[in-house]
Amino acid sequence: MFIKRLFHQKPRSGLGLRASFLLALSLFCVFMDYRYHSFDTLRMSVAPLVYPLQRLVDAPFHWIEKIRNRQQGFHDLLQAHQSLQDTHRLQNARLQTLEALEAENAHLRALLKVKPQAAQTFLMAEIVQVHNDPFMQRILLNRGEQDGVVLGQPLINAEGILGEIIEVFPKTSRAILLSDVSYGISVENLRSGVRGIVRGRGLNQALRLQHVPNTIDLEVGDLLVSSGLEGRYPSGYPVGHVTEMKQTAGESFAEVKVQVSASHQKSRQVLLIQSSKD
Amino acid sequence: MISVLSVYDSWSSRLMVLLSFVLAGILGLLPLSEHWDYCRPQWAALVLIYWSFYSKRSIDLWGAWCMGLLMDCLHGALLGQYATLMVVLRYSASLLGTRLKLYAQGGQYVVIFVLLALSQSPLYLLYRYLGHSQSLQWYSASVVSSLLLWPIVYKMLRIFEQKRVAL
Repeated sequence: MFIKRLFHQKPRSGLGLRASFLLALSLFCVFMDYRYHSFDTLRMSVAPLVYPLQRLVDAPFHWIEKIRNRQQGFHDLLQAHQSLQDTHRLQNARLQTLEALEAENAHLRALLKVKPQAAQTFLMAEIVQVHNDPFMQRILLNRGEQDGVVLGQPLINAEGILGEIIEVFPKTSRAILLSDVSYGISVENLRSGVRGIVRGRGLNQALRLQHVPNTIDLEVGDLLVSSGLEGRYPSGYPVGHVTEMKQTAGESFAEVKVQVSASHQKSRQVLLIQSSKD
Repeated sequence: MISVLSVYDSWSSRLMVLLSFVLAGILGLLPLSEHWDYCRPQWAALVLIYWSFYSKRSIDLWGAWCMGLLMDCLHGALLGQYATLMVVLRYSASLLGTRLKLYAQGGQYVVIFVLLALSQSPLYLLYRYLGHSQSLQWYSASVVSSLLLWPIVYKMLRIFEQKRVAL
């Protein structure tokens, strides 16, 4: 009955009126969804129905990748193994100093009577779908509420911060990436300690450091890390490098472009940070 | 005459239209690399153009709107985004009627190009109002890629439809 009503051709009277009503309604929906997230519950209830379809579309690519991995020659594997072992050794050595530093840091914090930093564990997740609208830089992950994913959980990979979980479904979750136009993160310059807010520009990989005075101590190539001051991200994770800095005389703010450190394009695996409260 | 009408109005015919939209939705989900993402064609818009201009099987304004909402749900986009596009397209289709088929091939391409660009404009204006400082790059790229794919979509749907009639 529903389908019959959907495709039934009605007489053309009042078509313009109906069209403008539907147009206004659609634009109103977009506005409400964008500004006030009014349809999040609807999206959440539809997600389990759409998920099999998304997996279905993703399956061939997943299998192609698997087959390609399997066909990789023995020699390649040996080489990869060797280089991984090298990095592992190197990182182990670095980790030893890090452990010592961590102990020292904890000791110093105790001396200063500062609360120790929360311990962090990681949850591995895989990217199922990349949102196909350049206006919304979002990805879908294969971990959901059942795996312990919570709203606002930070998302990283080996290179740095990727984004944050904004929607949690039973078996999947959706994350917003740093490059989304509506997203911002508090950062600090690792070299000088200057703080600022980095915002997405909608374009992949490129961000903008906002409202920084012309006289700020910042150079091209500086690494910006999360400051943790917005209370969402743990501090010290790489966000991006300064790639361009324009200081115009007479303008009160400098124009600073930042290249994101972490890219979701290079690998499917990402990590969700779970910080224990105590 | 009656029998022909019943063929065009039958359940299977409606299901066929619905199926073509679902397929368009699935095509829209295909992963594209970073550089090609801007050129993602509007599959469902092309399918709607086919059914409204080139076929006797028709989908009305409400149907087009519902299909738009379905696409939004499928792609996890802002609700109403695709629906806006579909409503504008369907309304322009009913204004133009079957006149489009009378134009020469080049003329048809021009009209389809204008329609696709026009259907994006309300959204573009809304996004500008909401504070997106995006360039026109995304819109123009997707309109051009859709137009380039139009002959293929047209051929496929034509074959699809004729096979169904033959059955």
